Amino acid sequence: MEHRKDCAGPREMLDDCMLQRLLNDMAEDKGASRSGCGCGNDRSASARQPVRSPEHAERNGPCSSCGHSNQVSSFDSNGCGCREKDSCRSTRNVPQLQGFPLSMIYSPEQVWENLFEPEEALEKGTLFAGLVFPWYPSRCRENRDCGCGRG
Amino acid sequence: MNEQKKLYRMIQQVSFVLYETALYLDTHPHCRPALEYFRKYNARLRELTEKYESRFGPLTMYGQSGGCDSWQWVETPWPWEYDCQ
Repeated sequence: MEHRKDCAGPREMLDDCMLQRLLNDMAEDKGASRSGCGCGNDRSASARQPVRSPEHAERNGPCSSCGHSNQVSSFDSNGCGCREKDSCRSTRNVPQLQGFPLSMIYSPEQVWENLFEPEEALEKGTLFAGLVFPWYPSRCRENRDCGCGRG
Repeated sequence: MNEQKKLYRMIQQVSFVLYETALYLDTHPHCRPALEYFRKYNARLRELTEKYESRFGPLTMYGQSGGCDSWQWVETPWPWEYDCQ
């Protein structure tokens, strides 16, 4: 089996077309592109439409507001279909996550640092201090008579 | 803790960090500090195992001493025959 030496992070896996589309979407005025065709009309129906993949762009009919075809951008401005621009937590509004494709899981790469001594490593269950995630159960939110003992 | 238990605990600790390091190296095969760490503790494990087995018998069936003329593996205590601590 050939060993791959070209392992790439998420950013490297974006092809040029996809990246350009994402950058264009971020640069556009968010209000103007809500309908997906750039006409600027924020119709509730079009604003709530699910994000369409590029392959489905041709299936979109013309915008009911301006009659323009919906092929200019198949992503609405926030990438999530919501109209709450300010409170929206779409990844597009998070600077360090811009440019990353949606709906994928990303995990920060582990580095060789902050090691425990062997005795403490065995006690903690890991060699790496960065992987210690103690769990603290919260207080019971029921009334004090529920009997769980964590009131 | 007596000498045998102390040595055994050290073997457990070193084996554990070696396992952690091996898992890390599986995804970071060229990490030099990790490779050096593995080399160092692998040597340490061999020393500790040799020391333990020479005094207290084999830890695995492969630990049979060359000079012995009986099968130590069944002659040293079985797990349920050790004292709890």
